[in-house]
Amino acid sequence: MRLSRRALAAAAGLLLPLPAAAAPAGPLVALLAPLRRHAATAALGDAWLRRHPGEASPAALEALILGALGTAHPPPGAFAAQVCREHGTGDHVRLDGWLLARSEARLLALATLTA
Amino acid sequence: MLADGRTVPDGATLEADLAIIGGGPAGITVALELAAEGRRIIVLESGGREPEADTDALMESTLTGEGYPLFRARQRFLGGTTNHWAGHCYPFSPFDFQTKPWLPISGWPIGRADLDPWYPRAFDLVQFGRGAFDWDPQSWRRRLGAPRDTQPLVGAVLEQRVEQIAAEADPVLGRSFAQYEGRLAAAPGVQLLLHSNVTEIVAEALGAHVRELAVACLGGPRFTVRAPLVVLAAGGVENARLLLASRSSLPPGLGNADDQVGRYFTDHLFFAQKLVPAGPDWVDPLLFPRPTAQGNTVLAHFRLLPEVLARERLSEVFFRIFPVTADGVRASRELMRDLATLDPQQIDWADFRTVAGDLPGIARHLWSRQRRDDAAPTLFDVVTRVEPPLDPDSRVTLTAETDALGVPRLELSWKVARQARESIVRASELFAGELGARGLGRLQATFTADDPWPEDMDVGYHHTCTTRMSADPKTGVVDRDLKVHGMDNLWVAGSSAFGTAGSGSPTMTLTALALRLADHLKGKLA
Repeated sequence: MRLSRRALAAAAGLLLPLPAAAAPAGPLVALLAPLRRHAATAALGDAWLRRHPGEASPAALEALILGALGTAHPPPGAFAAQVCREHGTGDHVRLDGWLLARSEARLLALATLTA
Repeated sequence: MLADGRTVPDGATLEADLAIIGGGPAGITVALELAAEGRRIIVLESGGREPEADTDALMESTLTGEGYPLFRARQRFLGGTTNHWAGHCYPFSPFDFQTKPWLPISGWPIGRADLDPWYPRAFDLVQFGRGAFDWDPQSWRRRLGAPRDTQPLVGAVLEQRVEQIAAEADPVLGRSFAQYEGRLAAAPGVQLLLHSNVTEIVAEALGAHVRELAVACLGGPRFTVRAPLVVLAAGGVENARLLLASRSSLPPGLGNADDQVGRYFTDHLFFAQKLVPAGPDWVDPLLFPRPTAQGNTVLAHFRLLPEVLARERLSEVFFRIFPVTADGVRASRELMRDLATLDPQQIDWADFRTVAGDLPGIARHLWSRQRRDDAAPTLFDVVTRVEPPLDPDSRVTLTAETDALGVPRLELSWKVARQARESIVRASELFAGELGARGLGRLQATFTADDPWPEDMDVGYHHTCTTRMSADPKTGVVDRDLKVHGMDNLWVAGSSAFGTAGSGSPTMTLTALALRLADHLKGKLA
């Protein structure tokens, strides 16, 4: 599925106000909530999953995201900081042209799978 | 004195202390500077005061390679390419002049310090006295009353550079250097001849000394101009064409003993990518064109720091950011313009549908304008501009065809090295990395090095380097003083003499170079 420019912008926009202050009930629940049921999320999440079929399970994605964070119980703001870190070190992935941090892309894929 | 070459008697010989071929920004600048010296100067301009079909036909060319829009790039009448100049100017950076070992051909035989004495005066000329010679982004943010004078995106990877856009100083002539016609015409000793085409720079037998200029008028006389000093300032590709076509004394053409004339043709390339900002905090007033108290316009763009370009072995790339206008706003503007013609044929009826379908976008735009709120845009175009590395096979040559005056037509084979594409891709990744690392936004960079150029790709109309400046005659045509290698009385002015296309728009720098040349020639005329 190819989305309009505006929808893609919306998708990337979803990632920007990462809920740094949110305290997740489960490790990633609070991060996923604003992403679910967006067509843009689905488009980018699907793109990631097509490219990485081995990660196409919620458990695998959660493990990878938390693994990058280095903790099973990330404190508030840890994910946003990790995304900034990945951008800073050039750990980018390109999804339909959007240059996203690897963990960001995985979070979109997780949101897509659990929508 | 202003005159028309068609009034010169056929077969006449005109004499001067200095002859200037071309009435564009470079030629006019040299003439203005030397007019005060009380010397006899003849300026030969091919065109008149406006475009004319028969004169334009002299520029018809064969285009191969990437297919450069050469005809649109040139303006063959008084004022030259400043007749369609967008007005952007800023000094080249010191880094522009340096040799870069990771690029095949780079560097100038002069440095930025060699131009510094002339930049302020060049700025005054190109801005028609309406600007402030200030290139400090912090200073401009303060002048514009910004809430803070820093830019969070600037740091270890990016810097911000100020541009100033010349005001359209004249209601008819806009930014054209033709505005200086009156000053030239009034200068004692200056003869500005319109409709006067130099068909050959005639040299002595060894090709080291210009003897005279052969001049022809379409449907009119042919005459000769003799001067001990000659400046060739006919334009970015026409300079090379005329040197190549001046071959009665030496078959390869003048200054072409090392087969360098016409090589290294280049221009800037740009297209738009998309950026979603994370919030308003980093969107400073300098990102958008702002009118200044002086009457021109100021803005700024982002560029990679020299040490980053060196570390990554990249060509120069810069990013200029503009808010994306809502479809409905764009359509309503076009509709208003079309309706104003009162001609139903001009109206694109689809615009009505677009306006009706994007009322929320129009409302947001109006609300934003009402609040004078720069932070309102949620999507930006990122105009991404690259300076392609020089390629000796990107070049101007002559064809067997001739124009109406018997001058061989040119063929332009434009080539863009793959390194330009790779530089865009890598620079975009670095820009995106900075946006992401600082939590300022995300970039959509759809172009990859293996893609065809994007549909919206355009050139800067900055045709440069075909008679490039180089200390070594084997890699260029003119020396650090703009004198043609191997010749003693012929100089080249204009962007064709740039050592590289540089990171900036060329007009102010070519004007500074012309001022420097004029000072150099003052010594020769004394």
